[in-house]
Amino acid sequence: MSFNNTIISVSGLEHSYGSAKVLKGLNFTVEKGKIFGLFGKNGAGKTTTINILMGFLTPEKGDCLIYGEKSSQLSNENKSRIGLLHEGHISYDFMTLEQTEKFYKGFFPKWESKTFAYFMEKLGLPKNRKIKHMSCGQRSQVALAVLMAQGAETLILDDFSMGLDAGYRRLFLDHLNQFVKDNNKTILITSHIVQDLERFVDEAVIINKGQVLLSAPLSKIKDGIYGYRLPLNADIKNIKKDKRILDISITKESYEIITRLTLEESKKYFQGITLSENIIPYNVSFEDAFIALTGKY
Amino acid sequence: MKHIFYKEKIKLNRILLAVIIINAAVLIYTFFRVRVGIMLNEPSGIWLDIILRNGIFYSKVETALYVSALLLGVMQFYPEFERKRFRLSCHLPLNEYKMIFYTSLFGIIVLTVLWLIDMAGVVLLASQFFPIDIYRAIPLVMFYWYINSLIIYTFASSLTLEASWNVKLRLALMMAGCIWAFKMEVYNSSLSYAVTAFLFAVFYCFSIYFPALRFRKGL
Repeated sequence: MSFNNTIISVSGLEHSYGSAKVLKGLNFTVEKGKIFGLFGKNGAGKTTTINILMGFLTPEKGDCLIYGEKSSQLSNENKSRIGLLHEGHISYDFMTLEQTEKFYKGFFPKWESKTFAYFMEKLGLPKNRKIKHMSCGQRSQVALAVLMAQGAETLILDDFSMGLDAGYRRLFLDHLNQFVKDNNKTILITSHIVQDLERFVDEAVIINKGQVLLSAPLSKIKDGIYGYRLPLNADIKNIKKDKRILDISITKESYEIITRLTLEESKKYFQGITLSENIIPYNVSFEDAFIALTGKY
Repeated sequence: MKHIFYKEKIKLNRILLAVIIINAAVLIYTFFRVRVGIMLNEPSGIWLDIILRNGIFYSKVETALYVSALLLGVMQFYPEFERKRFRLSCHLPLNEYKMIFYTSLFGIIVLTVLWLIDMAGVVLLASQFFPIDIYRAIPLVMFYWYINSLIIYTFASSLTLEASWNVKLRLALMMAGCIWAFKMEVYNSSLSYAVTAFLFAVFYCFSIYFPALRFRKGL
């Protein structure tokens, strides 16, 4: 890993609100060209981290550098290299689509009118439509169009899925995939709907209680985590969550148990406790692994 | 600067129209009020009112200017405060200090233009009915109103942009003290006093940086 490839560097980040310490020494880096997911449950410190990354919060301790500059003191040059998508797809919603383009064009010399026009064509709305009169999904497309057209090299996308239905979430990621992978852009993304990002993210950091719980390529996050289904008539009252049993869920058809036990180990374990021989392994999703690692509460 | 002005113009489109209507309506009202007053009263009564009771026949213009300042301050910064939209402005590839300065400058320019139009209107109106001795002091009196309107504009915009209610309250108390200090019944005609008051108002305008930078840095 060379320093020049590091776009975002977070080291020893600490922050408190009053007496409540929300970040307790957070460390991670984002390399050039990577799509990096920042995950955490509510209250894990994700929003605080994003606010610091975006430069809207000064941390008590530690450094958050983007392109080698403090995120809260970015030069104009680096600001134009970084695109921010704010939670809720905030935009100047008092502007029309035409005014939005005219406004941003003045700030970004590399503005790509063709890219903006592509998104607008997909939206199929008149240019004089005000953003405040659009749906949440349409607003998300406008926000994305602005980010893409300004030619930002690095994107920080905070909870892109907020308020979007499944179709618009998929559309958002499709567009992102199309533009990002072609142009070797670097992305740091968060979402409350973690399964959306499974097909998109290269690397992930999971934070819990203000600390990094796990940082790894997404393909490795699920390593050593297994899922098994037990029939609903199995007696699971003696199965307790511990280092081996990470999570127990009930679906309408079965119990789903996420564990660190291999198939052989789990057969012995479950048969001994539940007397059930009907143990069906299944592939855990990223969301399963995330919940197993961070817990439901 | 022109791009920030472009945004502010779009944002304030209707408000600009509203303040123009308010001020024009007040000028027209003042014109008819004076006209009717002169028609219905003895000239000596009007003279007594102006000289002895220190009556200002165009006092409604003062209210219009202050209402305009208040409206501009709130409506210019509320959309920035709402849903933390100010973050978009802060991330524009433009020095943040300049961005804040240009944003405020737009409001101040609008206010200045309004004041100049009001003053021209009042002087023109007065010249129709009164001797120059009566309306000679109008620019001076209205200059102090202009200073007050700058202070009200800054007060309104700073309070609107400040996110914390606790800080907003403290800011309100401090800034309201300044408004009170500038409220006057007798207008000092000394040039040095007027210049000092103006310079104070200019410095006061920079207090918008306090909530703006708090917003930016999350302090």
